[in-house]
Amino acid sequence: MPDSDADTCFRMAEHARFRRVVDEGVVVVQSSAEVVVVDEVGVSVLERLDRPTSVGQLIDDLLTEYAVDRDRLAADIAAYLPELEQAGVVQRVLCEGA
Amino acid sequence: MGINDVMGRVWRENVLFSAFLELTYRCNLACRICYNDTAQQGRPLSREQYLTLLQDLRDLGTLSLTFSGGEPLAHPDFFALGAEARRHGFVVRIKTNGHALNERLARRVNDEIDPFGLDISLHGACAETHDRQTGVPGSFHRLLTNLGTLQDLGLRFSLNCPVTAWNEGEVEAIFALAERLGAYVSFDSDITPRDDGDRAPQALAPTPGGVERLERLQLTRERAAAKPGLAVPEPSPDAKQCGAGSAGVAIDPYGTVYPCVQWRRPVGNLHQSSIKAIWRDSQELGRIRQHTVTVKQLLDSYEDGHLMGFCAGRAQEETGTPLQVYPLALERMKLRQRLRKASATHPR
Repeated sequence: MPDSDADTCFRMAEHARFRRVVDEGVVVVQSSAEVVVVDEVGVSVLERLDRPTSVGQLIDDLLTEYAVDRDRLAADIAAYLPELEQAGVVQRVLCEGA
Repeated sequence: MGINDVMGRVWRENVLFSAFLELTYRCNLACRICYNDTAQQGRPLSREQYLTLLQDLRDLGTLSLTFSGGEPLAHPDFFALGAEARRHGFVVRIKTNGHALNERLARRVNDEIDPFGLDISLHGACAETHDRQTGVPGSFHRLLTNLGTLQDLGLRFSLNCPVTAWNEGEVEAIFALAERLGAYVSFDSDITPRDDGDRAPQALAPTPGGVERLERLQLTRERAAAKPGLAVPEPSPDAKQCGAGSAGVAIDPYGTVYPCVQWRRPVGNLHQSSIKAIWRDSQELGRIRQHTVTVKQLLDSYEDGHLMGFCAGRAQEETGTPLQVYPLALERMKLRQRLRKASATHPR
């Protein structure tokens, strides 16, 4: 487990399988056999988490796609990632180089 | 939007969501009811062609990938292809007889492929019946040992039992065995001809009394568990009867692409075209998609058409056209109507 938020990255969970299907994202969490459907914003997030990514980097990347206020986006992401983590879709890992 | 809504769009918009790969027709068992045409000749797909196929399927957005056979573990590149499928992020299922899955191979499956699960054939509740149907003495006890190993490794598996005249009297015992193993079990009472049209397997089809007993038991268990739809066919909510050729394909060891494993109507071949080109351009695939709409309209003209468990591929086998209701489908509808009516009149 990472020591601090600065060292914390997120990535797709090891046992999660993800595809963009039409405009939605379908995630099969193999460990629980649950299926999670995410909307287009969720797809944008998950497509960036195929490798360990810090929250800051994720927000920077999303801002190139969505014209939204940074603070608002940061708040949304701060709420969204734990939801995905709880569902087994993403996991916390140590950032590379940390 | 839930997964059912997504799948509706997959069917409507022809998204290749699932692929069923028959890697080889070689097998280490000799089941009397096997539908594979093991005498079929052709040029098997090479490892490189399979690697290209997996990349193409990923590009097309395919999520579900099933390795089947024959016995898929008999393919020399099974583990290499399984590992590649994992790398591409497919949800991998392995349809196997389980005979070869000793601890060493089961561990490799777990570590190298990390499948969603294994679908394993069970032919009876005792050695005498199972071994008679597989044609291999000792296969029942070996399977039970291997299933124990899968449990120890945490590999998810479900059981599939083809119901025949030989094992129809063991359905309750098979349910009990599956429960002891903590596995879901499904039954298939429609014994089909071989893919070359040979009807010999159907000589072992279950008797009408055996089918009724199975259906009655399934209905009782469903009602007790309050889980309708486990074994009872549900009406398709979409304009198509099924996703054959609209959401999925089956591919045989020689590269022939079919709309479904049960609908053996070629729509292309990977030696001539890529799966991307076949999926986009095949005129035959276009006809298949239209047929699934026509079939849905046909079944909707019956009061309980969904209870037939109608399969367009079976219709083509039995009548020469996918658009005609075949006798077995009508029989099943009438049986299920009668059982449901009796169940409603005399609830448990």
